[in-house]
Amino acid sequence: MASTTGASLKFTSLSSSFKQTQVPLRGVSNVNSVSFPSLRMRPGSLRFRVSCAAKPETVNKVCEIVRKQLALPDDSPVTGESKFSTLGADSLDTVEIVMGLEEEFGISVEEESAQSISTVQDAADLIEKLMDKNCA
Amino acid sequence: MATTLIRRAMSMTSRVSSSTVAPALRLVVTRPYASEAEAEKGDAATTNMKTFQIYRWNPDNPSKPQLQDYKIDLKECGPMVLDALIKIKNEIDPSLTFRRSCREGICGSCAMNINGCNGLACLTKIESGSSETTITPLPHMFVIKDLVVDMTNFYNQYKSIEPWLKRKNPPPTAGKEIPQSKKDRAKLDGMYECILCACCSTSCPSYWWNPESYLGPAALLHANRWISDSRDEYTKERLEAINDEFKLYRCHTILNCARACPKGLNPGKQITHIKQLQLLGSA
Amino acid sequence: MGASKGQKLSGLQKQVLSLYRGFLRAARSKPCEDRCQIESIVSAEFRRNSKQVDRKNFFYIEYLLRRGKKQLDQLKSPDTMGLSSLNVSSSQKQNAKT
Repeated sequence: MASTTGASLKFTSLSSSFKQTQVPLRGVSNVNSVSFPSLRMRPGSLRFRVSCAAKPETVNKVCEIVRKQLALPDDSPVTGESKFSTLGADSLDTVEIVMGLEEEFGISVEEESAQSISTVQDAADLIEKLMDKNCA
Repeated sequence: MATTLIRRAMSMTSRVSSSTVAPALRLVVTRPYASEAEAEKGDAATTNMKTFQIYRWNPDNPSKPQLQDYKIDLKECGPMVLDALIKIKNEIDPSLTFRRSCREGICGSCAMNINGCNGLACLTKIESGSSETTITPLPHMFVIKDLVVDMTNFYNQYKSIEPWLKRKNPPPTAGKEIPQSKKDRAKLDGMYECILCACCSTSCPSYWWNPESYLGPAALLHANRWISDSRDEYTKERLEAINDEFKLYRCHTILNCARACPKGLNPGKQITHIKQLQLLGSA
Repeated sequence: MGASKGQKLSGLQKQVLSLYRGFLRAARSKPCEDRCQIESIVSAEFRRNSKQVDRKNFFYIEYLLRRGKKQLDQLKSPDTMGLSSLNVSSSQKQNAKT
């Protein structure tokens, strides 16, 4: 007896709170559905444009720095497609490489983008993007 | 033990049941407690060894934290939990690490969790009734070693409420102190006594879930201490600075803080005072 | 820690790398000689821990992260000249000190 009244009480309080929150929520979700797709599009298209633009000299310079940081011989095959991990770099080495690139090119790489770099090409693309920003 | 006592008490009630009901009921309640206390004394006379289960974790030897048992003779130990800790460190295990200083409840260093309750080791008596006492660091705090916890966040929150006298006008008499009436001074009672031991904040479930964003009972008590100070001229700014869904309003008046405070203060009451002032200010 | 073989980094690993980056950045603001010393000590400390610490010992890794953050805050202060390490022979433990 006592338990059933307790349960029904809970129920009513729950449903009433639901009604209250639903009304403002509808408004919020509308706003979200409008802004989300447009937000998602922008970084994607930017990246696409930039990855086409990385100049060979930038890639070469990056290769050189990577060789120096990892103490690889000058004739070792390092190209745009080289992955840092296949060159023998662990995650700490990757941090060092990005820090070295920062100083070489006079740029400042943000934490999030720094952690997404895994190949020489990634690095070269990001560098050009950041240098464009510096000039603009 | 307990069941036999209850049985004895019950047989008594049945005997007295012929008389009025109310006194018989009272007998049931009081009798077991009285005889239990006697039984405790008897136990203490025969054995005086007690086990302390103490939380151990050493960063230099990184394994999982564990409870370590130490048996000590209470007859050769002071009455407080801190006495036992010092005895263990001196005589059994010098590697046991804890903070302590004044041993009289004024420095707040030895705050820890004793048998599930936050308190100062120097003000908590060793329970003679039970055979074991469990001592762990303050709950939901980062452990540096054994019973020593990281207080950085706690102190930073205290710092964030600007715990010093702030004035817009020079003192009434240049170069002299700012006078305060006895009545105004009395408003600070129940707050100035706080020693920032963190027993209250670390006993607060709200603080456990939002240790970064919710200021916690200790910092808020101090906020109210400066808000209530008649000499301080930044009352309005202070109220505005903490008028925040998280900083202030994560207090849900659970009042664990008041239960935990080894100085007998009531931080929850002071937080309520701040909330009242916020309401008055916004009205 | 030592793994970056194509797999995604965990949140804890990201925090460790971010701390390492923080140390290297802080080192840049110091004079050249101090900077080299800081870099070699920090690098040695991270690499040593990446080999010795059990990857699943989150409790300890989190502790090291908090300690590292505090040391980094101290290193960032312009008053801090450099970093030196102290070898405690009994436990073979390096403590970075400012």
